[in-house]
Amino acid sequence: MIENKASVYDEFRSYIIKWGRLSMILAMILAFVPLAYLASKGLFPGWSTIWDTFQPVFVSWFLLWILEPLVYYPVLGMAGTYVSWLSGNISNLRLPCAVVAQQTLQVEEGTEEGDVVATIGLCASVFVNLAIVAIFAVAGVQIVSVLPQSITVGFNYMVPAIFGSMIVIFGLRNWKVALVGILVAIALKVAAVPYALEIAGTILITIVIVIFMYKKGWIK
Amino acid sequence: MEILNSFELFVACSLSVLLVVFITVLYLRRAMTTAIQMGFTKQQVSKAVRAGSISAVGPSCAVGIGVVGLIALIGGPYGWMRLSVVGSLQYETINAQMMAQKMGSTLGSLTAEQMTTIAWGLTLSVFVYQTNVLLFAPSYAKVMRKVSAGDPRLLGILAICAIIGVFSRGAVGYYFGGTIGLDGWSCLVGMIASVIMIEIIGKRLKVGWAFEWTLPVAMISGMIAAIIIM
Repeated sequence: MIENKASVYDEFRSYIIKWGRLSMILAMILAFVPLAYLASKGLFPGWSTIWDTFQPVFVSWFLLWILEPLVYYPVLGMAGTYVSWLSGNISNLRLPCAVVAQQTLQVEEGTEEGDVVATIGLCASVFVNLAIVAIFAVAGVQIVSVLPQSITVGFNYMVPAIFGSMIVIFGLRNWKVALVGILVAIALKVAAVPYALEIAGTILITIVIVIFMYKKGWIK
Repeated sequence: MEILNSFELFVACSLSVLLVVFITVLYLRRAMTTAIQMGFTKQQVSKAVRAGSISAVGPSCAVGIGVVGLIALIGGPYGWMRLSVVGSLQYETINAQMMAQKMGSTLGSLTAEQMTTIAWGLTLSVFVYQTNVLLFAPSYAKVMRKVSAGDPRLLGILAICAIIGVFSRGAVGYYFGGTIGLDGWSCLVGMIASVIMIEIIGKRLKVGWAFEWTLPVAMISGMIAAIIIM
């Protein structure tokens, strides 16, 4: 079983790419179905209005659109990349759930085992996510009115804890990399880099510094 | 306005959501069989499924509460679809705000026409990401192999760089407002809880499930801390 491990993974990978491409094309088409329906009912703002309104969005995210899927790839893996860019919620759900699955089975990120295990955790998170969001879409107003306000507001503070937890989980594995990343993030914040450049900027600069340190033998 | 909350629009939106369900079922099944072929046991595989599911509950509720808000702004079916497919609460809300502002309006006082314009913008803002993934995803591995010069150890380190980059970028922001807000306290408590779970309960006391529960415990601790300080 061990000797054909590579081919097992290669098969997995080509299966993922085949279906990933197909579903990505379908998703891109289906996303316009509701808009087409609205247009058929006379609700269409016109192309120039759409482009005009879209411009600030385009300017803000342009670089991120190019870089973000690439920099997340080493963690999300092949299947994770397709599923994540179909289902969203990457930093608050997909990345953490992929990482927890890897953590649970004690496999390393960036390896073939890591990729497959991340896929399992990540896909599982999609079902839970969709079910809960659907419940809130149907009965959200009632749920929110029943819950005490401290709880509904409290949920907003779950995400910062996820961020802290992720830093610790990976910081404990390689504290030098974590330190570099945090210092870079602080430096970019002090330099008041535009919001849209912060994520990609932090990751890319961290990678450059870490590769340099790795080659010098300062990071193992 | 009724059209924006109509059953027909709901059906049109659910096509996208169904596609996500379909591909996720396909991938999950394939990943589970591949894992077993690679030598993992059935128990290990179901542990991974459980870990991913448990960790998704809390953040999903946070998104769920966001759905209620977004529905009020851009209509039921569309708000539901936007937060089920691609995007994220933060990304969609920032973009919706930018576009409302550009039209000289604010969220909450939009006409049906303006809501439709925003719906187009949100769809396009995701379309570009997906074009990137569709065309280039298979090459990402090649780029990463080049950057790491084929060294698997370095590849793992690059993955850590990406994670640390994403989350420290977010976390650093909590401590730049002059005073530490609830975000900052929640993040700090989440960090402390994670250290306790991993180093003390997991490694020192050798409790096996500590790793699986690190994230959920951190999330709940952070949330409780914020509620108490509030």
